[in-house]
Amino acid sequence: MRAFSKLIILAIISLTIISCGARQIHQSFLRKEVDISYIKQVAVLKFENNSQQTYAAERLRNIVMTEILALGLFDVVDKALVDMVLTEEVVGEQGGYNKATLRRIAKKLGVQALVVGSVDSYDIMREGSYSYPVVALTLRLVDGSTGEIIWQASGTASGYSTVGRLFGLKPEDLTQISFELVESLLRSLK
Amino acid sequence: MTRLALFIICSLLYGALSVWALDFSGDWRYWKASDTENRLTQMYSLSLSSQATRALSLGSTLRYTRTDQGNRTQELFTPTAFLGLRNDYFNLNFSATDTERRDSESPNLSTRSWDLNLTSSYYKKIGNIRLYYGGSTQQDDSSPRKIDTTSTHWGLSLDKEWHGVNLFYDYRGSHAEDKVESSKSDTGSHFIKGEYTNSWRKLTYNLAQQISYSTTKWEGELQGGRALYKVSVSVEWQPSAPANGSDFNDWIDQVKNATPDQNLGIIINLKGEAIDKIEFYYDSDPLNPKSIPSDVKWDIYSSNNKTNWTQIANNVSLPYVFSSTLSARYLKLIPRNVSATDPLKVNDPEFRVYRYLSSPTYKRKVKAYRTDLSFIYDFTENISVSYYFSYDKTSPDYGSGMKDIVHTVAASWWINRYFQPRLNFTRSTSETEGQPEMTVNTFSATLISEIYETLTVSSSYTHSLSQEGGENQTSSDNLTISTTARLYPDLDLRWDVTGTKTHNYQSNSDTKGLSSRINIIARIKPSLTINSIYDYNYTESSTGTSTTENYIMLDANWRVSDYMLLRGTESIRWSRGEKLINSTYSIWLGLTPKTQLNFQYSGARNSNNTDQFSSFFSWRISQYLSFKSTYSWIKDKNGKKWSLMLNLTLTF
Repeated sequence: MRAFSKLIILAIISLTIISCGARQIHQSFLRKEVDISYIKQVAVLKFENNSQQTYAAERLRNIVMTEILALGLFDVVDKALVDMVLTEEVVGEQGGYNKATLRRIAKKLGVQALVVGSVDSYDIMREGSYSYPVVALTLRLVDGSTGEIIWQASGTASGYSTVGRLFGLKPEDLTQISFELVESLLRSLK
Repeated sequence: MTRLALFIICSLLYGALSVWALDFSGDWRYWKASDTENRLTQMYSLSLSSQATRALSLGSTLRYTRTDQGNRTQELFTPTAFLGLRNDYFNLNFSATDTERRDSESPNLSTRSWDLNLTSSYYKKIGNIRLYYGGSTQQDDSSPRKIDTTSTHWGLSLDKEWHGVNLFYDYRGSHAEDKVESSKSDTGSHFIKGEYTNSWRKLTYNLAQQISYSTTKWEGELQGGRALYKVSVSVEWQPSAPANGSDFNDWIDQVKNATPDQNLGIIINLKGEAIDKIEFYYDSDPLNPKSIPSDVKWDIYSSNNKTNWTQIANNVSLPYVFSSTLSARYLKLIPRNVSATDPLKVNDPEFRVYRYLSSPTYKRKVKAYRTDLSFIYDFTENISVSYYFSYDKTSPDYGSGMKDIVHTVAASWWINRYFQPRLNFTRSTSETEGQPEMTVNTFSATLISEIYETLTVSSSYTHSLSQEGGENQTSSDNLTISTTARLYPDLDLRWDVTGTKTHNYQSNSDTKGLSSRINIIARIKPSLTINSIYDYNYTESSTGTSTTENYIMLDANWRVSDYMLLRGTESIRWSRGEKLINSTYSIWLGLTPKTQLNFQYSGARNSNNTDQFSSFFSWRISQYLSFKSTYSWIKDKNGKKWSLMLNLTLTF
């Protein structure tokens, strides 16, 4: 009976630990010959939105700005200023930048680098009667003077949890897993 | 460690819980009667339940009942708990119950049980799966103990459709231990069934095959050179078993004059086991079982097909020990008189059947096979013929083997609405090892005529012949004419006339009978319905005896208004030298939306006159509180009796 009790406790603890946090997969690239310590301030530009959610790109842009500041990576230019410059450069809602445009934007804003990205998924998935959020995001850090990519990271995070599905627990919401995904992507810059 | 595990599980669950539902109810009942001591019963129930998550629900109920009567106090404390988990993969249900019984006049008794049930339809390749496991214990606190049992049971079942074939497999096992009787038993059984139904052109066919294998292992103690093995049997009551709290003498009254060929009495299916002793308890309370008094006499019959009954004991008391070990498929018991002990208050009536063993161990393995085949061929929309065949064989390694074969051929032809003939022939054969073969051949022809939309006449003739070992036993001929008519939109008539003739080849005697029933239902207006019945029954035997019985019943039901309902029933039953008149009148009043009042008078006039007056009052005092009371007054051959019950119920 004791062995059985131990087994039950172990199973519950294991399942609880396994189910904590969102499931993530991510990959990053950092140009080897570049030392990013010269970057003091960045501007986060509008993201491409490849998801079904209209405001997904803007939501994740805000989260990226918050996390860059929270992790102490760089200083971030105010969003209103960035949007004003983007309007001047006639950049649409879907982003889409060429090297020349990026250089001009960096120069106008006085930043050493720009952060651009694309939201590939920002959806609620369903398996059986279980629903859970999925976020997929790609971020790029572009040098302001050359328009070259210094760093790029892609990742996907899911709120799916086996324990949650078994016991009917409420999964993390889109915002929670977005923060977790952005943080883990940006940590690859440190 | 177990407590720690429970604490962690409870803590995790508690953390997950968002909403608890709490229910409380209290019930107080006070009885006062002219012939018994006053009784007060208090019942309290507290339920706690929660839909903890979308998939998880759990709860617990605590019930407490206390009854005080004279110097006797009985308490019943029953905590129960349940947990249900329902997700895409499986459904899991767990329940546990503990019943603690405290009685000032008998030892305390604890009964605990739990069950775990898991079902899943997630794995399509496997099909539907069910797994279960459970256990129970029962103990009293006397020294030495009168009851000390533990048991566990488990099982698995699978069902799946495979290329149009429905497959089903079931496995179950159990282990039981009785420390007082020093006995142990282990059982196991496997059952597999396949069924296929399809049609080809105008032919619809069905094939089903099932195989089962079961084992029983029992270990006991020899006492006086023999061990007492309790045989597992199933019991059929006709009419249905008396309800708990009713008087068993009333049930006896309904069957005491029955003949074995009538569908009345108690049939015990021995499931192929040989037996030596039979006991009957009208109250099967585990600590104080009450055996039927010996002044009740019984006739006992045996049969292998439930049709031909052979008397094996006449006018005997229970418990009854057979003169030699009895092998039969079925036993029928008919009580022949009521007991002088009145009343015999029924509480889960139970028959216990035993086998005497000369060895302290008993093992039995039973294999059973059953095949069912049916074909229906529709020549046209109006003409169809069908054939049904079943073969059922049971082969125990110990005891008598049994084999049943049934053939049925049927045809129906809808010529027109005036002429709808149907024919049916059935031959059923029952074989029991070492005993003569029993055969029953039945032929029936039915003609249905829908003469008008409001008039249907159905006539049916049935001939049946039963044989034992190739020799004729009994034959019966039965002719029934049934008429259903709607005389007016609110006036229905049904008239059934049946003529029967039975011949017994052994005694070379005949019995003839004629019965008629006329039932008229008149809905005079939507609020007033009158129902009348006239029954006539006549039987005559070749020995020169005859009986005639008449019965008339008139029942009126009148809803005077939304606040008043009147009902009256008068019936008279008379046969040679006997007359019984029954009267029942009642009035129901809905005094206010929250109160109801009912008065009823019922009386019987025959050799023993009876008058009974009863009233019922209910008052819903508030959303949470209600009050009920009943009063009853009876005058019969034993004198006058009365009883009063007051009941207050509180529910949150």
